[in-house]
Amino acid sequence: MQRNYTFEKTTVDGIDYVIANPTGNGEMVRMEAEWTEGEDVEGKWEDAVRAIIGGDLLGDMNLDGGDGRIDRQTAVETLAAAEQDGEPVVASERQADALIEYFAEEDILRLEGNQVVLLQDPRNEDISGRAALNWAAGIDACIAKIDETRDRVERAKNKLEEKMENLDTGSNEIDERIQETGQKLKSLGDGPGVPEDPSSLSDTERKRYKQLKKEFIHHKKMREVESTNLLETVEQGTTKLANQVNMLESAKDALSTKEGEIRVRAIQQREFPDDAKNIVENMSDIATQLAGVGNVDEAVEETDGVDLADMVENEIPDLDMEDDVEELQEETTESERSSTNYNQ
Amino acid sequence: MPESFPAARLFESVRTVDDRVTRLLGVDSYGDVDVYALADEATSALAALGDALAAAAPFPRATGSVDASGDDVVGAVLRARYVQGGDVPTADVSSVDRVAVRDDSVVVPLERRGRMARNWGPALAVLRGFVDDLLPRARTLVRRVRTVDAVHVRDACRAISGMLASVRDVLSRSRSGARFVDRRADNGADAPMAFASWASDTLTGGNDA
Repeated sequence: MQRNYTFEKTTVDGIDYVIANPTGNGEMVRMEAEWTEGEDVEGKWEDAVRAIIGGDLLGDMNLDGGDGRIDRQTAVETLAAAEQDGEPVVASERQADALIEYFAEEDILRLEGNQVVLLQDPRNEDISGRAALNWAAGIDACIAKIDETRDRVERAKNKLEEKMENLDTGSNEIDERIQETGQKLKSLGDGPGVPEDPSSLSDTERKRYKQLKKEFIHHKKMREVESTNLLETVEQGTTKLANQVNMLESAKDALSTKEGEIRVRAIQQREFPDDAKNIVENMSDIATQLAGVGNVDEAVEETDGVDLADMVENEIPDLDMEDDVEELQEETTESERSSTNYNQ
Repeated sequence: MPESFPAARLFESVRTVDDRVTRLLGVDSYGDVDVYALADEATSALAALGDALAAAAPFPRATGSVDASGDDVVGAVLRARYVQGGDVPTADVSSVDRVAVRDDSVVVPLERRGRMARNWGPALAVLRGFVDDLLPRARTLVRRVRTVDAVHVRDACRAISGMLASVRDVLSRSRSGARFVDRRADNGADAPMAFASWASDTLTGGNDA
């Protein structure tokens, strides 16, 4: 592997540092040596791993096969931009880059060309105990993302439910037509209401009665169709959101249990586990637990139109009522416009 | 509503309305008896369309992932057959699994569930296009008969326009409502779920890639 740095250890004022000296041009980068240390069950480097995976779970991480890998430059940028408890995780992009290479030197991750393998396939015999702990960090990042997503889904569901009651009154024009046609029907004949016996009407009035009646019934029917459609659509939406919440909760439970097990295992060994197999074999019933959730892929499939590209595009804004009403109006205008175009 | 819905039921009434409106816009004198009869046929056809829409409600929507590229073909077949009123060459659609060939002609199955439920989207879009095109002409007709003495003719023509407008409202709101809800129902849940699923596969050796 092409190295961009050589590393040396140094101590300044009692603190251990690692100095990364660029093999080419550039300034040296200083990092605290504790990055590769760990207390009991959690390595300090996990902060960095978690930051990269968490920042990128929705993005460029390649999950094909048993390895989780990411473009090195993306990893550097994600890490450099990451914050933990409001503080930057690393000082700069340069530090992020040097740190990632240092982690590779320390067997915490692997560099392959311009790719960083953050999560290594546990079937890989060479995987180090520290690299195995990255899985715990990955799970951690996933759980955080699940929490965040669950809250957003929950909010969306509540808003949708409360919102639709207001939007249900959307059929103003149809209501007006019902009113107007009803008034005209009442104006026929001599009495104050709609004529009860149309055969008593004059020929012209009888024809008017016939047309107005057809129109009146039609508008009522269209209003009914509209509200049936709306109810069904809302029900589908809230069901879908409720399923998502359940799915996320179950996945989270399974993952939390598993992460806990990895770390407990590490405590029991009272040292970093050198035998990664112990850790990952111990994780083997994660599938059983996730299976109880129902097949994750299928469930995602069933939720209709959950196309990743789409989703990233339609990033869900947190919505206010006014926005929604406005948006619905825009949507209506847009659909009117495009349906006109449809025929051309 | 039955599992399968004849597409003709959605479109034939609109074709009748289209024909009557075209003829009504071409008449010389709106005082003729025939004028009322034509308008009466149009409002009856609209009532039939209203019945068809009521039978179809709630309008089925696709579930699961279906290749949306078939939408264009389904739309084109429906437009060719019902808007332009021609036949559809069976050879052109042989590779599309969302249409069927029966008795040498191409049909678009509209079903309540499953893959063919996806056909409702383009079918309703074509219908909406048809109605959008018809509505301004019906309004022109209403303006033309405004000064006609026969109040029943005025009522009939206004009914054509009003009934079409309600159909248009229902069609466009069903789509905007669905989009509105869909947008709220997509929350990025599948990214963490995909990760969780991949992690579990990998950690249990179930991932053979």
